[in-house]
Amino acid sequence: MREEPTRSLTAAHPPVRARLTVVRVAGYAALVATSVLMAAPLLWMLSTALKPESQIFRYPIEWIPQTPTLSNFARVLSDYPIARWFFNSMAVALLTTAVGVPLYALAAYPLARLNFPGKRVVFLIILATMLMPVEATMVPLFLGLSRMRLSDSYMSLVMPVVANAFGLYLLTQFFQTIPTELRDAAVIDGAGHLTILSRIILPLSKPALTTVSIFTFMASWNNFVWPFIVTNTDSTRTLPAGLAALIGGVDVGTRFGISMASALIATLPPVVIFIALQRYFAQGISLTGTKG
Amino acid sequence: MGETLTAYLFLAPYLLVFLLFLLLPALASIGVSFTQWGVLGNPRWLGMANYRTIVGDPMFWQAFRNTLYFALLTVPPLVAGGIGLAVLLNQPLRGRVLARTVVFMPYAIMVTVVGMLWRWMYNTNFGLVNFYLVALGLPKIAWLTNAVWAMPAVAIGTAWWQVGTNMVIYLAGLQEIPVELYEAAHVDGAGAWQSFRHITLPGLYLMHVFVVPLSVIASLRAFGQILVMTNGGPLGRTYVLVQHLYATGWVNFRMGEASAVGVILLLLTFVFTIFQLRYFRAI
Repeated sequence: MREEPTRSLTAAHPPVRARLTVVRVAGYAALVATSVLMAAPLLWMLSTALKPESQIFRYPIEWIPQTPTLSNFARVLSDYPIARWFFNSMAVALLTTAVGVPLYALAAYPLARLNFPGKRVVFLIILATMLMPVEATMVPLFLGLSRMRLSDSYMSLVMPVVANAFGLYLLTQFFQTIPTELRDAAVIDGAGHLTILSRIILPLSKPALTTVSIFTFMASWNNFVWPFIVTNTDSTRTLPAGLAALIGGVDVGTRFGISMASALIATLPPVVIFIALQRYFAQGISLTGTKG
Repeated sequence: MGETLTAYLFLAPYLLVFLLFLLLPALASIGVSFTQWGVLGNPRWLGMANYRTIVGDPMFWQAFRNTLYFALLTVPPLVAGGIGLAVLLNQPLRGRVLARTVVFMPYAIMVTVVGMLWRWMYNTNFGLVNFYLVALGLPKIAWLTNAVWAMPAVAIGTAWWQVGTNMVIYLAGLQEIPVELYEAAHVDGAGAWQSFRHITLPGLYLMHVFVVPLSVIASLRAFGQILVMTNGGPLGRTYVLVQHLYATGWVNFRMGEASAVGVILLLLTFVFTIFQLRYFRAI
């Protein structure tokens, strides 16, 4: 995350300085305690995934595996179609991003920059659905897609996430911040709206487009309830659905080496993206306050 | 006129997807909720019968109560924790940038993995949580199989997962509060608590307006992490509304009734959101 300019109240008087030292020590104690508590579950996941089965159930617990091994990963990959689920998740998330972001950019342009009848109504309806629990749409969606024999397909996984208005909302907000003089100059030159969007607005919106792409990818990658319901073969099942159905379940749920190894496999792509592009996450979240 | 046509042409591709996969299904869920509908076969009009069934169904009421209890257990720590962590990690402390990353990191983890991870954390005999409880001289707790502890356990795992998101929003809010306010308060002899109470908290007003409703909505929709951790157990103590919707529709294949549960969830969310926005005088 970006380092913001600090705001401290510094005072020169000795008694005040002594009190400030106490405050600083307390601050560091809280900072360390928080970091340890928040990081512990993830480190524990890593530690367990790297232990041979015989060392997982040890008491007292061991943070560092005595003989680190990749055998849990090998077992997960050979005994479960996790590679296939991974591929499905990646394909669906990339498709969702590739379909969604251009649609959001196209739709955000008139909402942010043009005046037309019905604009307010359209925007309000779209906004209102952002607060709606999508679980309420699942039954009709499932019935409709089943009738058309489209359930259990990539399309049935991609389109409901594309329909989510979050990316559109974020791009609309961003497009509004671009000065209109640039556009007016282009209009005088006789440029059409598509040209203005592609030549002026989009090049100025690279950070916002990156943020929206990441959020769309993550929304798809982490999407759970709908894929859990709509997929029933390994040819379309994504990681969250597959893990819940097979590895999170009761039978394998107590084989924690396998469980944690598959958890790690599922966590790696988003964490890599997260660490590499963290400032875009913070930006997107603080712009709208929506939980991806 | 040309501009209107252009506007709707630009909107059309998104609106088509939005209508087909979001708005129409949402509206259709009301219609479906008045029918008897298996996955195959044709629907039959039932009127209010599904709603009468639901009102008389103790499983529904258990899910309803559990969902409210889960919201009660998660929303206050998520909001207070978000504010507290934001204020802490806004202080001029070394290492705060790394600490922010660590706090925010669980956000990137998928819901199933959150469930799998905490299921292992809470393991009675070999889990991390009980190991440190015993080290502190406390008794072991059968977190996920004890009727009293299961819901708080699920709530703690959820709070760990989501508190970083709220922290990031509040951190952005803290940047907007003019530093002169704190300086003036300091000159007037205000202590740290008074500054927090009278400057920081009101200064974060806009953040509360979306953090609180969104935290409530997220808690009303909770399902995946609970499914993996407890599957609704023990004795239905963590059985929540979305699991009831799922079980009604895709385990018992009563699609009409499941749709009615969805409509109730929708109304519940709507009522809660309106009340909160009223409270914050946002509408």
